[in-house]
Amino acid sequence: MSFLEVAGLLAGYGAAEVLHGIDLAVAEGGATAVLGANGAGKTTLLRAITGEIRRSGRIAFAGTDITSRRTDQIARLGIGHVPQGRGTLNRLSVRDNLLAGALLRRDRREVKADVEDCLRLFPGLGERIDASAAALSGGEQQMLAISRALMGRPRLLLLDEPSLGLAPRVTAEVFAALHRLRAERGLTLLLVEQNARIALDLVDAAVVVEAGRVTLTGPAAEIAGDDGVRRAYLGV
Amino acid sequence: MQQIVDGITAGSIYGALALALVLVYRSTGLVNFAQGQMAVVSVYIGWSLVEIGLPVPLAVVLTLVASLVIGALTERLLIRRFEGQEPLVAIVATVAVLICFNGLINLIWGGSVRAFPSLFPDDVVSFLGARATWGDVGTVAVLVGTVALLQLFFLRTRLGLALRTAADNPSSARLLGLPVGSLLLVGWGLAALLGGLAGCLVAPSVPLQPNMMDTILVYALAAAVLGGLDSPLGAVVAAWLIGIVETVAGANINIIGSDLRIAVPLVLLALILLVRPQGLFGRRDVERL
Repeated sequence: MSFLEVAGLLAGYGAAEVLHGIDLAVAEGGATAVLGANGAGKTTLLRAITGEIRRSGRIAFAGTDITSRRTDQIARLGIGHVPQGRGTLNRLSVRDNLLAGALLRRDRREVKADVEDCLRLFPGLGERIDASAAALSGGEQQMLAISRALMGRPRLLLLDEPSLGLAPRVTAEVFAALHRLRAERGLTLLLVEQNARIALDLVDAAVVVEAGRVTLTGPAAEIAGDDGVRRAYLGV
Repeated sequence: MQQIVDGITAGSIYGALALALVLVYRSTGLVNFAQGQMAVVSVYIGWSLVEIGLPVPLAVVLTLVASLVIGALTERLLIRRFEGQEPLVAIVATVAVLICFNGLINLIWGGSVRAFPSLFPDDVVSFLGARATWGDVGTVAVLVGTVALLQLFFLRTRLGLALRTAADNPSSARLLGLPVGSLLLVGWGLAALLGGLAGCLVAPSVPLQPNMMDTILVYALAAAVLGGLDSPLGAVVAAWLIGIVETVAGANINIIGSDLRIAVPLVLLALILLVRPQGLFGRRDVERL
């Protein structure tokens, strides 16, 4: 059984249906990328998984049906979500943002150690630890959003367009950290990303979503070699 | 010196209610225009408890518990319906709550003026050539203690951080696993408790009647905004400043007298906000584009 299993997912906003029957599976310790053009429904897919929007069908996580659970209940099961736009707590300091990510944990000593781990992963955050999150650059905010999600020790991390609006150098830094997280912690990832090249380099499987439907699915190497994907997303 | 002491005493009354406004803003992101009227409901409950023979300290404690419940119920039954909408909708709803509670008080207790006993002795104490009642000293002491507790609560406790998180970005708070609805309920309950405390401190010095907090709410709003809206310390310092300026100006500038006293803090508010839009202790909102 897959760690995350999505079957026949319908989801949307108000009366508008955006996803028309998505099927998707993520193995424990695996990483899957969701590729697609703007408006294909990639962000909607992540928001449906974390219960932020109306959805039906079946979503199961670690054997538990979460289709009708609330967002906070789903997060407590161990699904971290770094949303598009980062969702940083702008009136809080960097330190408080990190601690907010660990509010459900009781192991104070380990929380402190995890803060240090995050600062090792993204050293730039350490230099701004007492700054307001609103004063950070886009790249620093993305690093903070990922770190805050990690503070909750998620079993599955959903990442929505982590490279959006970032300079190439910063994008490389963020993805280098994600490679480290996969290698050192075996973190399970579901990644939505426009930059197909950098995404396919990180993951071991991918799905292509077009107009709310999965049109292609398979191992990352196979998807990267698909002529349609190469033309549409890799510019080859 | 006497005018400064009188100003601090008056400012402490405004500050007590301003603290409740700051608490609800800091934990829910809203300005509650019904805060004063909710405090009046609390005071009437306290008055009823004293009337049936309970000692004043016990009546005040029970009043604070009742205030907590009233605040939580207001959030649960009304304000929560506006969750996820523009904050302005909920803020306008608080004006409706103000009007409803005012009508409720008139319905249950009537509009006649009553007297609420003080928690403190009536004796007068002298220091540095000024005189004040123990009630005045007690009000200032309770206020200072409350500010210290609030600062500790928000900055040093997990619940304080959770409330700040939920108020800052409810969507992100949910993604972190926080039960935002319950946190907003706690924020409203605590703010109403603080408002009830403010009411019990104020009530002995003003006639107890359904509109007793109307003018005080104006001063308290001015103090909360002037202090930076999310700073308990800022709200109290601003309230004292308003109290002192109002008292000194009213006593020494003939044209102001007692009629224009209420305009003094508002002019002060406008002048300071022109220079510091974020208030005296507020942080300027910065956003990188």
